[in-house]
Amino acid sequence: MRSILRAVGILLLLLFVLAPFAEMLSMALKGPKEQFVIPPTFLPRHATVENFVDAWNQPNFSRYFLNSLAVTISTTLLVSVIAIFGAYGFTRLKFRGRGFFFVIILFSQMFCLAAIMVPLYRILGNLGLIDTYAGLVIAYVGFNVPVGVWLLRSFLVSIPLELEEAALVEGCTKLKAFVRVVLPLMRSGIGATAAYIFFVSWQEFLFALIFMTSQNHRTLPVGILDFVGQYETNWGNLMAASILVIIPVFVIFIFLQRQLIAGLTQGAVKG
Amino acid sequence: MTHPGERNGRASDGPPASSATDVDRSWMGSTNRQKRRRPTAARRSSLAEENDTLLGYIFTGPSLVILAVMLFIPMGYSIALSLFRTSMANSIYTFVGFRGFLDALMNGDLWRIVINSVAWTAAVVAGQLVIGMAGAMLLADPFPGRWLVRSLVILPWVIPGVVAALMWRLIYDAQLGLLNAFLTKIGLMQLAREDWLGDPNLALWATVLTGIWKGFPFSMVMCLAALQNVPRELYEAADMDGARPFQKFRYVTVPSISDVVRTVALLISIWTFNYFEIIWVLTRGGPVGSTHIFPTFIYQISFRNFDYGEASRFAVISFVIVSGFSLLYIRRLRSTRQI
Repeated sequence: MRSILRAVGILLLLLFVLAPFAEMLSMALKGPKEQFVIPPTFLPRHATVENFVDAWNQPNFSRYFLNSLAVTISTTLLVSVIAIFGAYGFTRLKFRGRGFFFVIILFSQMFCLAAIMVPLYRILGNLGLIDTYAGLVIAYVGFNVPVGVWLLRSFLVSIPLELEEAALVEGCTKLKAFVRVVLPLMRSGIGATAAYIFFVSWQEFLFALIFMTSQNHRTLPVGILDFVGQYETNWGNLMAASILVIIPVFVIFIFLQRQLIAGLTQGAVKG
Repeated sequence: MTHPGERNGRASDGPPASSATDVDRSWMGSTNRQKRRRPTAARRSSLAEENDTLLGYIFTGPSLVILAVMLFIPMGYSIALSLFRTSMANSIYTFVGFRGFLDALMNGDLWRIVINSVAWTAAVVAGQLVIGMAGAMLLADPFPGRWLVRSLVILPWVIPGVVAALMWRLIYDAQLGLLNAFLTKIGLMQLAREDWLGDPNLALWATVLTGIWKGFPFSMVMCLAALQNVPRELYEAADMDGARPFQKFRYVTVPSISDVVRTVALLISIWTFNYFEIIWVLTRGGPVGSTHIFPTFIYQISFRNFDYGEASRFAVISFVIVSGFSLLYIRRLRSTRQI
């Protein structure tokens, strides 16, 4: 009896999670006529990949894709490097003000981005960085660094101190111990953190909407709204485009699922 | 509860053996240095601390500088701007001090935004926690194909918020959407709506459902991790005392994971309060402002109405609210010895 209830529960959960995906896929596979059949057919009668081809050939779509890729990869690399040093400094080095600065990092992790969008827009404007990739990347680095430091720190605290101490006794400097001993051990943590930063930057919407003013500089999350018409939306194209946006994150997720989840559970819950 | 250190030890996939030997080898290369004269203990420690201070600032400096430039200076700017009245027509700023805030408190917009924000945050967080916990309990014990179900269930959390919102826009579509089709199919035609997102009484709840769907996997993953750390012996002991399933849930499961749940609740409250794109893409804050929360409203008045002064007042108020949550969160991390 209990196992039946459990099976029903699991099925309901899957239904709740997957129904929207199923509808997205079904719509993406429908031809232009079948899209507007009422009531909607659940299984497309004449499945076609037309929508995917259309979406990709839509002016700018591949451009948006490359923009997103460039911004996301630069952000991920920069944040990872800055956060690796930051995390090491906050966990292993003793210096004046460490506790205070670490609280600032934690506090910034939960910063309300909407509260700074006007001033940030004007500051970047004064620096001539509005509508540039550099401006968007800098803004992304700003709000991702705290999360990066926090996640990496949780991996660092699980690396036993003895290894470094041994290296110090052997006569290594702290810097050398960091490079030779700690960095290699942090590999999986760095991977998980980078994957998380990739996810967050790939989907970021608000800053991309505000800072990228010209159309060919837009990233995917904003660019995909091109498919939403003022009066009528081409749902087939829109859903096909959505699937194209999702694919890169799914691929990364499949490969890094374990590390990512380990990183999140350590970072947010255990610390 | 298990000790935090113990949990870390169990969850971390320890250093791989190969890299450990690499490290050993690299040490061997430096053994000749041992012959060098060692500084005396006292000098050594002061030297180490001196190095630490310099190295500490060098290592953490970049993070702190970028936070100062990208978050704290803009926040200061926001606070300053909130004391001015700005006009869209010309760039004349009139200093009004706190009167701007008083006006905002008197006029209806602020309270509507506060109520919407609280309703949106509370409902989304409650929904995510309930479904997340239920999901975690369903998936905690092994069954064939569990790995697949687990991976599938996390998907909403992985996809971009904009895409999630677009998917749900289709679901809520009156003619093409899954929701009305489903309600018709199961014979609840009278529940079908002409326009789920166009009805001021319904729109906010429609966005809430999307918010729950998008974010609940995070709570589920966290609860699963926490459930995995509940010692088996507690359940065995409860079994021996003849506890019924509900009692086991109430007296073993709940107390064991409540720490984690509380931390997660704070964290997702902050995220949800700050969430922009679901509401923006689904409703743009409409109809008639019934779904505006702080982030969407601030965007609206700064980048559509260009009223920077008023936008900054809302920004400062939302900053104060979020900071309250953040401080609670930091205090929790301290009290559970995570920092």
